[in-house]
Amino acid sequence: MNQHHSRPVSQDRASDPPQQVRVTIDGKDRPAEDGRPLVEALVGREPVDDLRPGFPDVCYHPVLGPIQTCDTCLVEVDGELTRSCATPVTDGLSVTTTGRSEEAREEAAQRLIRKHILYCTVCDHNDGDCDLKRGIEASGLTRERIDFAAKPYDVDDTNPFYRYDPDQCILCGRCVEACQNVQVTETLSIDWESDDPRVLWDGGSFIGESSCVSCGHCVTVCPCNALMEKSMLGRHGLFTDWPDETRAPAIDLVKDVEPTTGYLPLYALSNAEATARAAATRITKTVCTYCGVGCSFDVETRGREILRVQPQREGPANSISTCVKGKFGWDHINAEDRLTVPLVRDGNRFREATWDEALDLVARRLGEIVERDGSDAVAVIGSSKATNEESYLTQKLARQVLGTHNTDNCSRYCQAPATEGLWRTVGYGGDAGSISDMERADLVLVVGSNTSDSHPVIAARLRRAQKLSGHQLIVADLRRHELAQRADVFLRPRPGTDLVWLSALTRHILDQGWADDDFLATRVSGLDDYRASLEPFTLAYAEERTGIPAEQLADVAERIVRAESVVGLWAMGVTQHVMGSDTSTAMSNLLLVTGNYGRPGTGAYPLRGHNNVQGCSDFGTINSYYPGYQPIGDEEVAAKFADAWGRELGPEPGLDNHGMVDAAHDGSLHGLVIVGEELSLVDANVHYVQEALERLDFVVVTELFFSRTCEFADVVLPAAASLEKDGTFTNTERRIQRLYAAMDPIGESRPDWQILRDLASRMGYEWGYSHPAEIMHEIAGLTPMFAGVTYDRLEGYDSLQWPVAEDGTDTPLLYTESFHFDDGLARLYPLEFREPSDQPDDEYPLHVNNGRVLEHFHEGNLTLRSPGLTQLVPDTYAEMTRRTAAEQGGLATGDWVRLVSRRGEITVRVLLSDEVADNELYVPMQAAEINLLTSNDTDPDSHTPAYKEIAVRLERTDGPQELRGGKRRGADRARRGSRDVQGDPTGSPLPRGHHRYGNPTPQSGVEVERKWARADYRSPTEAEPPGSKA
Amino acid sequence: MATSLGYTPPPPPDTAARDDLDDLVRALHESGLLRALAGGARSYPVLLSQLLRTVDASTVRSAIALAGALRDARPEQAERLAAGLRDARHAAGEVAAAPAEGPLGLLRRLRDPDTRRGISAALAAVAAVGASLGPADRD
Repeated sequence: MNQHHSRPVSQDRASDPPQQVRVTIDGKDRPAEDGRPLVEALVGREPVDDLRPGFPDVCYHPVLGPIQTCDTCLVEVDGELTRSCATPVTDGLSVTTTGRSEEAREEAAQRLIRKHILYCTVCDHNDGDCDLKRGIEASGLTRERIDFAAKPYDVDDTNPFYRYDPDQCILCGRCVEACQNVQVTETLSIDWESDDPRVLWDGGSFIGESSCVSCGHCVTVCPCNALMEKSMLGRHGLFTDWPDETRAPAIDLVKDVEPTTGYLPLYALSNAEATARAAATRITKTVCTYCGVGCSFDVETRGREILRVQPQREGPANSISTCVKGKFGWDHINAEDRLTVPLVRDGNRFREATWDEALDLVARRLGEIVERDGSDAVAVIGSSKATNEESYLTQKLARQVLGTHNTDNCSRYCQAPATEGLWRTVGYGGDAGSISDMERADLVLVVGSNTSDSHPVIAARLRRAQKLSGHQLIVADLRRHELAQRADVFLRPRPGTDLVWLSALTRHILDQGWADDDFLATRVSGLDDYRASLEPFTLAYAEERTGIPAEQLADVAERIVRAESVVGLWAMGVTQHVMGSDTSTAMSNLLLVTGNYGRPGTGAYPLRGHNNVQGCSDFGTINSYYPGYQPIGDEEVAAKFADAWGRELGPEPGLDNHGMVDAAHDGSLHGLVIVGEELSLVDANVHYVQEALERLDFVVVTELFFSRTCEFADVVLPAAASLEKDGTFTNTERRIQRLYAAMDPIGESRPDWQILRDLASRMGYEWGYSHPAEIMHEIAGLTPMFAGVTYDRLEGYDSLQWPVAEDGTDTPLLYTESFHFDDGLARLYPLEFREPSDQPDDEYPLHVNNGRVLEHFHEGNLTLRSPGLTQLVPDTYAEMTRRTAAEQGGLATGDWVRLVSRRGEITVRVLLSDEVADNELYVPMQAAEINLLTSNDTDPDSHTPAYKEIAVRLERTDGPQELRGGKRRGADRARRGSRDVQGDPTGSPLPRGHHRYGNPTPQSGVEVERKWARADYRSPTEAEPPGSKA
Repeated sequence: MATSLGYTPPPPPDTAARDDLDDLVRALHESGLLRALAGGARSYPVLLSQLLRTVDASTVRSAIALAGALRDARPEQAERLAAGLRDARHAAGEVAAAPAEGPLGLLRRLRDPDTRRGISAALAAVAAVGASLGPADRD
């Protein structure tokens, strides 16, 4: 373990600023950062000459820290040869890089290319930034002295997204270090004791049959082409698409030439090729369109072709980290069934139309409805996938143009209860700090979150903090999922009872006198009333109602109070219950009682689900607030917007999503604008929702694909995808980040901000925006929370965490001085428990839980269009224990069953598993069928449906079936994971090569000491034995 | 009232088509340009002498100039290189009566008249590329 391992990987504004000191390099005085590896100061030097750029650092990566496998950074300090990557900078350090260390570096480079053929000009990794090539050049190597020796292994091509070529692998171990200590899946290792070492997956499995989760860390950090994205192979270089029969002789030819010419002209040639390919390749910074972690990265494109996604160290949320979706799941951008032209309903069909015709029709019909039935007869639903600027315009269309507060977004389906809980207790409806605070926390309490699948990069941070720094991880969930399996304490409550055990913990802490009394006295109000409300929540009652033993709860309470800092993370396992808001409140109450707010490593963190579900509400697409959560009932606020927009609006909240569906049923809502929301599949009880959509007079949908919701539309407008537009997203840590267009919109599709602008224009409001920056400028002027947000301050990888003061000062950590209430005090909020809805009974004896899997996002509209992702997880399933399967008639994996709830039924295959509890099923929601089972029950405080409260009975459906799944229709069949296009699959719904069936090989890292212990390893100052493989 | 109604978009045109530059580069592969650049004109004296018998000296000078220019190519030069490659495809097409066969050792190939014809085509292409890398104001 080294000093870098304990540092947060994500941007950490709480860390001490770097201290500059002076070092002497070859007699010259130079600046360097105190404590950082010396090699960083060396690589920053001017090139030795035009053919020897910088200083070699092949195995060194700033995020991974010194792994010391390549020996190319050897220098002389105090007369001793030492690896500069493992030498911390100190003031006055004197270093010599000439003489014997220079010879040693060249020898080390020779040893690298005896493991790797240099064919840079025809290599897809010759992108101008190849660490191996740069290191070899910088080492001064000009001629090969040790013949390349092939390794006796085949290329491993078994992963859908990347491949490993042992013959190109230099055994630097970056991939191993990233897998073991950044991603912490612990799949990769190097068999240093082997005759011919190589990188191994699960100690020797094929990649495609290992525990590899395809996160891409290893590929991202590989310094050469040993690990490469398949999307790059034969595509990135100008000369790399030659067939093997051409490529091999060409490489041989170059090898024939090299003894005569040396490498210098070949370096020049490959450098020229790299420069030329750079001219033909576009690199664009973007922000991931999947979950709320907010990963940013470069996407490399050539035309519409996506070559690769390359995360950068500067990415504030994710640095070099990605998950399988963010790294590889972009096929939807160029999916064959992207909508490219507007469609209008014409009798019993849709026909293509011009933008003018479509927008004129939308403007006319909405105008007629408003004229006839009033402004509140229409509503606008925004998208948590759209940008902040588009969210602002969505609500502006509703409020300014249509004259109604009837606007909402899908946070109603997921995040609203968490926001409510935070509004009640601490004031801001957002995460209290940053992802780095999750990394810093001594103890992380995760409730109702399958973080590894739903927020994979955050889960990686939690695993790293636990592994490298010994931080405690307590997980409460219905399922013993990946993170739960790693937890120091795993709590498995009965469904819908989290409020009970959280409140019992808090009461126990107060009863024991373990509360943070100073914090409560100075920063919190409402203790007496709150404490009184805890009266029923004894540990004994909690054990009886939740099933968690009282002594285990007492142990958790003690761990929490003993920890220096605690963060609480939660997600849909908490919020999608009828007690969602109250349980979120209970979590915040617990953190307040223990003084865990306002310091680095503390706070409440509802993990936002969509890339911009935070921003969509922040920027006003919500029925009860103007942008920046300015209350619509506040006269001063209302006057400000009336003045800005030239339209006065009432003080009463509009309809939320739930209310819109009800209003469609009761006939008071007639027109609906839906911006990229799959309303007809993701709202609960789709029978009721789809019937509501059919009742509306006029529906317009903007979408990437002809979704199920589009089927109910009168006009469908083709929208641009995230890679096709500029704008900003706000992630779970309130971080606003820019995304830039990497390519033009497909066909005639347009960004939503342009669609909304043009629609407003046709309805009499000339907004006149020519770029999203102008929209943000308007927002900043109207919204104190975003007063200092400008595109200039968000350039590239720069970001801002709201609230942002006018001078650009942002807020990575909330509540350091006061809470967001007039008196500055947090508020303990009294609670009581209510029973979940739709509980199992004799007729419907099984509980159904549902959620994401790692490889798919929600209903699968994006990810099911990825052949690779659907190869990994092709279908949904009903996961159950062997005991449950036995009690249900002796079911086995692969058997087809029908799940029947009080509302409807679905047909799925069985997957036997020990992750779930007896009598509890888990159904991944990528099949978009789960809401055939869900009810109209909601959390009364937020109107969020109780998606997680479903009781079913199970029926075997062996034998011919007319319909198995197959609720998708029309163009939706292009989704490769749809069972409509796969017929009637049999066998396990989860391939046997799925990562959950792998066998990880945890180790401390690359374990270079084992390399040094090899009989054939010598320091580069000594000759190595013939045939050395080290 | 909007009853549920399906729609299937028509198949799109081939969106996977490579851009013009890739097409050009492929044409140059087939004409043997890279072999001339990588192994021959700059570095291999025997080959060079063979080439000098095959093509005129100005063409070879262009090739050598190209290799030198490429080493230092700046982004704007690289863009011009792309344009030059585009011209090169046309030049190669005019000279080559038939595409080159698969790559073998260059010396062995030089004994083959078809190969020599391919190299001629390649170096004619190089001349066009080299011209593109000259002073920006040159005709």
